[in-house]
Amino acid sequence: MRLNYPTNVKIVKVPCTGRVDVLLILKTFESGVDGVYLAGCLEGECHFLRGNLRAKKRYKGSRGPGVQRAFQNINPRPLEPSNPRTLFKQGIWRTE
Amino acid sequence: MIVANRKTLEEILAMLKPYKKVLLLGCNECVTVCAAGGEREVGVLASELKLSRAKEGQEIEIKEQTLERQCDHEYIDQVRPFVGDYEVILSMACGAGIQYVGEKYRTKPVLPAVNTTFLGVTLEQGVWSERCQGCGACILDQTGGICPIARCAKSLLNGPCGGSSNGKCEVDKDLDCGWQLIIDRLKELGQLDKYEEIIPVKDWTTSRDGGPRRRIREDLKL
Repeated sequence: MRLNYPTNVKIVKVPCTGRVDVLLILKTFESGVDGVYLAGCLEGECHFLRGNLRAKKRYKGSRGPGVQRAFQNINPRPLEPSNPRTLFKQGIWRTE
Repeated sequence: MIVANRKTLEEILAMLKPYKKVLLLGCNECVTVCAAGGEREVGVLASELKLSRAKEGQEIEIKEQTLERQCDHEYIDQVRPFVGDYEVILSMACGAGIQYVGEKYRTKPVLPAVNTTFLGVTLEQGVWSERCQGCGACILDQTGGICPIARCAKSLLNGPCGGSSNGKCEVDKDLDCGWQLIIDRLKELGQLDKYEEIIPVKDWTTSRDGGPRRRIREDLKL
């Protein structure tokens, strides 16, 4: 988005939020980060048609070993986006 | 394929409580296809375990390894060089694989990370359904290719029973009546006359009733 981020924020580019797997998030936490913020396209505007909807399903734990399921025993703090209209913010996880 | 479900993280953590060095074994066969115990699931479980232990301030060392199969000793032998370095083996294979690993490494406790459920098919991505109970005496030729043992809740040989309503089973309104499926299929095949034939009482000696089964092919033995 060509924005300036604080130096402690690391951007990991993926072709689509549909690429984001639970393992990717878990490995990120293993490396010691404080939180993961997953941002994608608005619903209905996915360049790959359904990638963001799939990511949303996974986040909600309704597909496979979803992200939320993986985290429910570890860091059960998935936060709802504050302003869902500006970005399709899939979810935020933070370590406690 | 053999279908399994992963146990909850709490169950697995409880089993692993006394151990600090874990060999986590996945399987590249059925449990990979049903997304319960393949390489990816091994990675997810290892990560969950490490994070959980770290949260409690406890150490855990996990070696992730996914074997081609855990039901053949040639593949199980692949971990022999380093199995001694670990206190426990946590297997994500089906019940057969878990037991066979235990038979090969008798001094190591082998713990199950999945619950093995049934022999089934993939209906769609993420949906699996039971098709066979391995009774040892197949009668699919008489029932339009649909198994009354596995698909009928009562395993009736001459159904349907009175609990069949609008093609659904009384056990669960979302469950198809196995015998309705059989009749519909026989109609499609033009073999409804087979439905008129009474299937005699089944000989269950080929099933589990005779204890654990073995199959020996002398011509294949070395």
